[in-house]
Amino acid sequence: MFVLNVDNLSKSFDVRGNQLKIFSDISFAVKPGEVLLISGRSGVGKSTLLGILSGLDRANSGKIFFKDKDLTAMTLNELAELRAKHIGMIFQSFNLIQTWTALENVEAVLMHRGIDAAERRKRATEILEELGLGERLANLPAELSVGQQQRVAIARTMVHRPDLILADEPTGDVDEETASEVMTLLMERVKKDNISMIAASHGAFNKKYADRELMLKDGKICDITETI
Amino acid sequence: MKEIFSNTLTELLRRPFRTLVNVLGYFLCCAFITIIVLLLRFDLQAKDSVVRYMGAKFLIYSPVRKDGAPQIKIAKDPVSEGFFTEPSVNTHLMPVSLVQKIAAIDEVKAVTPFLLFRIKQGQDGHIFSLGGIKVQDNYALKSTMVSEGDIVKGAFFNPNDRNVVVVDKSYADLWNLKPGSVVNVADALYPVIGVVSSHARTARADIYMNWEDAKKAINKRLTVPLDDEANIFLVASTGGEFNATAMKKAQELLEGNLSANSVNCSLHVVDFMGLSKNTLNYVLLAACILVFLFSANSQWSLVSEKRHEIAILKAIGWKNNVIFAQIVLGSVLQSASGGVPGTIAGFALFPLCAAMLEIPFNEQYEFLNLPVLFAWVFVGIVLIAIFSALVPAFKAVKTSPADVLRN
Repeated sequence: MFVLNVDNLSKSFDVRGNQLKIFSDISFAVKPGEVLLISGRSGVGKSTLLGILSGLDRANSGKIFFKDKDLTAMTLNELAELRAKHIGMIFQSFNLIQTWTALENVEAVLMHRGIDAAERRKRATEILEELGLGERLANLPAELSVGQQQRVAIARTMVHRPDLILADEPTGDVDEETASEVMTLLMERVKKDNISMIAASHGAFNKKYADRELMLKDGKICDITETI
Repeated sequence: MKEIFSNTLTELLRRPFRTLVNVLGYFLCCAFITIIVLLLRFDLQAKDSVVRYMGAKFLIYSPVRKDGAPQIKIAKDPVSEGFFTEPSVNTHLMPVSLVQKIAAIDEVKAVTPFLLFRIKQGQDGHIFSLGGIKVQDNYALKSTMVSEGDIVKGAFFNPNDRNVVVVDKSYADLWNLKPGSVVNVADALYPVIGVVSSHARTARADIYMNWEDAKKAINKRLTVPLDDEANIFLVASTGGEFNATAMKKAQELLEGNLSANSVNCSLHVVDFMGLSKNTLNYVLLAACILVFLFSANSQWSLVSEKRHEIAILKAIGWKNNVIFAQIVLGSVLQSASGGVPGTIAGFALFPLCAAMLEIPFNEQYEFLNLPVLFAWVFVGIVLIAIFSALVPAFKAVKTSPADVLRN
C-alpha cells in the first residue's frame, strides 16, 4: 500500500505555440512514513512536479493515485479538500500571509472545514508552542526572524496532521544553522506521526533526512538512493 | 456561512483605510443618489399635481349651431338669457342619464351634470351666470368646477343645504359680496354662505347653487320647465395623458353632436412629465453605473493586491466557493455599511437642499414614502455590490496558485 503512486506522468508548457517539455513518463511511489528527496538542478521541473502532486497544477498525461484515489480525475474542489485534509505544503519562501498573525496563518488550514473556532485556535496554539513560538502567536511574519517564519510554515503544514508533506526547497532560504534547527523539528514530527514526505531540492536539503533520492534530469527521473 | 462572514469582516478590518475609503465612497454615492432621486421625484409629483389640477378634466356640451336644430327650451328673455358655456356658446340641453354613458368610458374617472345659465337680474338688469351643481358628486366637482378646497371666505355647501348660494370671488369683488350678504336670483333672495376662487377651470359661474335650487330658479326664467336635464357634463379623466382620448370618446357618444372643451394644457404638461421621468431614469442609470464602476474597480484592485494571498489559501485547501463568497460578501458588507447611512443622510439632507433650492417642500408628498424608497435604494446598492464583485471574484477563482506561487 503506497501513500502516493505516480504512473507515467508527463508535463509540458505551451510557450508561444511551442511545447516545452518539462518531464515525461515518470513513475515512482511513496510508502507511508517514507521521506523521498527529489533532486536536480534549478529549472528541471521539481517545483512543477510538486505542484502537480499537490493538485495545484495539472499534468498532460499519466496518473497520480493518493491512497488509491485518482488525483487526475478529481475536480478542483475535491483537490482542495484533499489538500485541506491530507496534504501539507512547505514552500521555499514560506509563503506566509503577511497581514495575518502567526496564529492566524496556522489556523487558516483548519478554516472552512467545520472545525469549531475554539478548537482551531487550540490546535494552532499547541503546535506553535511545540515549535517554540508560544510567545509569537500575535506577531506578523514581518516581525519574525527567517527561522521563526519557517517554523510557522512548518506549523501550518503539520497542524491538520497530513498523510503527506510536499516540501519545495524547505531550507533554501535559511542559513545552515537555522536549516538544521528547522529540519530537526520537522523530521521529529514526520517520524513521530509516520508522515510521508517528498522534498524537492537542488542541494540545500541535507540528504541524511531522506530514505530515498530520485534525481530529475533531462525530463526523466532515476533512483539514486545508493548514493546516499 | 458564519465562518465566511467572520473571516470577511476580519479581512475588512485588517485593511481599515481601504475599507473606510470604500465605505465612504458608498456613503457619498448613496447620499447623492437619494437627494437627486428625491428632487426629481418632487419635480415629477409637482408636475403631476399640475396635470391633475389643470389638465385632467374637460366639459362636454352640445352647441347650438347656426345651421343646426334650435334650442327647445327658450328663456323668457332669449337675447340676454339662456343655457351657455364659455366662451359664450349657446348650448342644448341633454338628458342627465348621459352621465352613465360617459362614466363607462375607460379613461373617465368621474362625471357630474352641470347647469350653466345666463340670467338677468330683475332689479338692475345686470347679467350673471348661475351654476347648478350636484354637491354630492364631490370628486368630479373638485377636479372640474368648485369644491370646499376653493373656498376663500365662509363655507361650501353641505349636501343638504337649500336656498343658499356660493359666489365666485370675481363676482363677489364686483358687488362687494361676502358671507352673510344676500343676492337676488330670479326674483328670490338667497343668502351667501361662501366665496370661492376656482382659478383656471373649464367652466365657472358667478353664482353657484345646489342642483335643485338652481333648477327651480332657472325654471322661473324658461318658457318650458326643465326635465331631468343638464347643458354641461363636467368630466374628470384618469390622468393628463388620457385626457384627449377621454374627450374624443365622450364626443362620439352623441354621434358628433357633442363638443368637448378643456383648458388645453394637459398635453404640454404631460410632455414635461415625460421629460422628468426620462431624466429621473437616466440620472438613476448613470448613478448606478458610476456606483457599479466604483465598486468593481475597488474589488478588482483588492483581488489584484491579494493575488498572492489567494494563491496561498488555495494551496492550503481553501475551496473556490469560499474565496468567491468572501469577495462578494466583502463587497456587500462595504456597500451596506456605506449605503445605509448614506441613504439616511440623503433623506436627512433633503429638506436642507429643498430649502436651498427654494422648493416648497411638504412632508405630505407621496414620494416621501420612506420605507419603500429606502428599501429600493438599499436593495439597489446591495445588488450593484453583488454584480460589481462578480468579475473580481471570478478572477480570484481563476487565479492559478501554481503559477502565482511559482513566480
